[in-house]
Amino acid sequence: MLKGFMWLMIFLVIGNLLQTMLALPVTGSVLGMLLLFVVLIVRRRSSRSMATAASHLIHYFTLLILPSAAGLFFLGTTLTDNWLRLLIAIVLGTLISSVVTLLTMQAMVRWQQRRDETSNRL
Amino acid sequence: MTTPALAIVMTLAAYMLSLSLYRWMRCPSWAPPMLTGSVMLAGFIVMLPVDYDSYYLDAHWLTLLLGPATVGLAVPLYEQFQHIKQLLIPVTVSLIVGSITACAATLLIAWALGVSPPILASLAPKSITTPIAIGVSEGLGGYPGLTAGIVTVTGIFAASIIPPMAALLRCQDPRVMGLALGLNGHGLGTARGFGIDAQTGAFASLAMALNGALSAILLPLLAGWLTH
Repeated sequence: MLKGFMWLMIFLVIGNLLQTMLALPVTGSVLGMLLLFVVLIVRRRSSRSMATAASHLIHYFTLLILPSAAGLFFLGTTLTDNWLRLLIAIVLGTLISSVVTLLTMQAMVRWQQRRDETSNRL
Repeated sequence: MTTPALAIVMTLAAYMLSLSLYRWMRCPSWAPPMLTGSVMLAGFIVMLPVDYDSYYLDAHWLTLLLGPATVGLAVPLYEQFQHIKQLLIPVTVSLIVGSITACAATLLIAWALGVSPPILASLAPKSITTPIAIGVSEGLGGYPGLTAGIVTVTGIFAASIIPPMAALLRCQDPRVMGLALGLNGHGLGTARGFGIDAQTGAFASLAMALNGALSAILLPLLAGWLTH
C-alpha cells in the first residue's frame, strides 16, 4: 500500500510540474490522474498496492473535503449580500442539469442497447 | 490559537460524529455526512477560540491528501474502462450535453437575477471537483473562497436530490445514476455513488473526472468568447 501511495504522489508531483510549466487551467492532481489513467490503459493493469492506496484515500473523500466545506460559513458579506440569489441559481440550475443528464444518459444507453441488438441479429 | 493537532482532532471529531448521526438516521440522502459534518465543524470553530483561516491552514495536513486521492481516482476509472468502452457514445454525448447544461442553466438564472460578473465567475465551475473549480474560478476572475462554498452546496444538493430524482424518473440504472451524480455533484456525488454500489461510484468518478477536464478546457474558452 505504501508503494502504491508513493506512486500516487509521484504522479501528483509530475502533474504539478506539468501544470506550472505549461500554465494549464487544470490542477496538478487532475493532470496526474489523467496521466495515471493513460499509463494504466497502456500497461493494461493496475498494481494491487496502488489499488489499495487509492481505495483507502477515496473512502475518506468526505473527511478530506470537510475543512473546505466548512469555509462556506465564514464567507462574510460576499455571502450575506448574494446567498439567496446564488442559492436559487444553484438549486434550479442543478435540478435542470440533473434531469437533463439523467434523461440523456438513459436515452443514450437504451439507444446503444437497441443498436447492439440489431447488429447481433444481422 | 491553533495547532495542526487540534485542527485534525476537530475535523476527525466532526467527521466521525456526522457518520454516526448518518447511520443512526438510517442514511437519509438529504443529510449526507458532508452537510452535517461541515455544520458541526463550523460549530467547533465558532465555539473554540479559533478563526477559520488559521484552522484551514492547520488542517492542510489533512487536505494535502486530496491531491493523491484525486490522482487515485484513475484506478476505479481504469477498472471500469471496459464498461466505458462499450458505452463510448452514450457517455460522450451525455457528458457534453450535461456539462454545458450544468454551467449554462445556472449562469443564465444567476445573470437574470442580477448577479455581478466576479460572482458569476465564482459560480461557473459549480459542478466541477473542488481543486479544479478553484483553479478555474481564479482564472476567470472569481473568488476562490466563494467557489469552494458554491461547489460544496452544489455537491450536497446534487448528491441528495439525484438518487430520489432517478427513482422518480425511473433512471435507476447504476450507469445512468452514476454519471448524473459525478457530473452534477463532483466528489460529493461520487462519494454518494460509492455509498450505493461500486458501479454507480465508478461511473460517478468517471463523469466527475471527464467533466472536470472538459470544463477546465471549455469554461475559460467560453468566458473569453463571452467577454469579447
